[in-house]
Amino acid sequence: MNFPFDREVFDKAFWIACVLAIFGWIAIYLIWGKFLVADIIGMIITIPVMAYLIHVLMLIRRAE
Amino acid sequence: MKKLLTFLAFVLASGMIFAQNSPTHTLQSGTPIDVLSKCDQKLGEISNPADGPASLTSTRKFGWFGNWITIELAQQFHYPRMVRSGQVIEFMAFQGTQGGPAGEINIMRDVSSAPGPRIVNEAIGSVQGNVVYDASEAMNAAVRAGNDYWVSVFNFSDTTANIGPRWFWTSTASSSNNANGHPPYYIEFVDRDGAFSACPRWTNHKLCSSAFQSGQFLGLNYRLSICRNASLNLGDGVPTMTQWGLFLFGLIVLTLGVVSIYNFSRKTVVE
Repeated sequence: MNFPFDREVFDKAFWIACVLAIFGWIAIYLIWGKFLVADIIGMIITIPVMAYLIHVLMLIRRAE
Repeated sequence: MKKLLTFLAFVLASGMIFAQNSPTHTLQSGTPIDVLSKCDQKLGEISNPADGPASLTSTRKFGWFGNWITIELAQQFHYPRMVRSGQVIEFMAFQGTQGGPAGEINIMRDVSSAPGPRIVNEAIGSVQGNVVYDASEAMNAAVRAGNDYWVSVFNFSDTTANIGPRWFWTSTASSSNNANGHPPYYIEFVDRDGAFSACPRWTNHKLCSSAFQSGQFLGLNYRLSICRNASLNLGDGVPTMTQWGLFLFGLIVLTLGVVSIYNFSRKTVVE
């Protein structure tokens, strides 16, 4: 499987993922009322993966 | 590309930290009564048969010519471990004669082959003739398979009438001496008027046999029915994923799917 990667697009996607993470933190607090260590670790791993997903979606959009 | 694969491998491996054991059932107060003592599969019975030569009084405060005497008997039993989890006591049965409308059962820990602290005390209504005690939640929560315990059953007479109503616990010949590993039964003997020499609470019957059955190394009969309760799973939990683990798993699958779509679209464009 070929994993596409464009540094410039990824940087943009990373910031979008960070903004989404802020909404994620707010959602966690509204739903569970507290943060756990698992939330911090989970978010640290999720942000780059989510950024890469957004980055690929942006590449698809650009290709179209 | 190699870096990206390494990163994904790291992410997948990191997901393992979100694995957690599923919660196990614990015996806490407030558990519904019918949960603990449910019998889904009979595992077996252990017993001291009622083949002894005598029946012995086990009655609290039975009348003795204007006074009362208390004789409470206790018999040791072993509660064997038969399955890894979900084991419960279904019932205990005791063969006896006579008796009255009120009685109790006590379960005590075994301390150096003698009755120790009491862990179960329940009124069981009529103790008359043969007694069958359906194990309660409290009892199954208190006892642990693989240990020795003592059980005492007695009729509560509470009268000073001449020789008031008594319950007689049938003895067994199967545990009639120490040589076969079964300790003899123990006695609490309280004499109100001092006509007999009373014994302190839980005295080996050999040392407290002046009032009755002198010199006979008897045991007392019982039948212990053991079941498996399928709704109790006390074994190791099955590893499950947390919400974060599930979320990450879904996200990675989604990412791989989107990458596949991208690759497929690029391939189509090149062709």
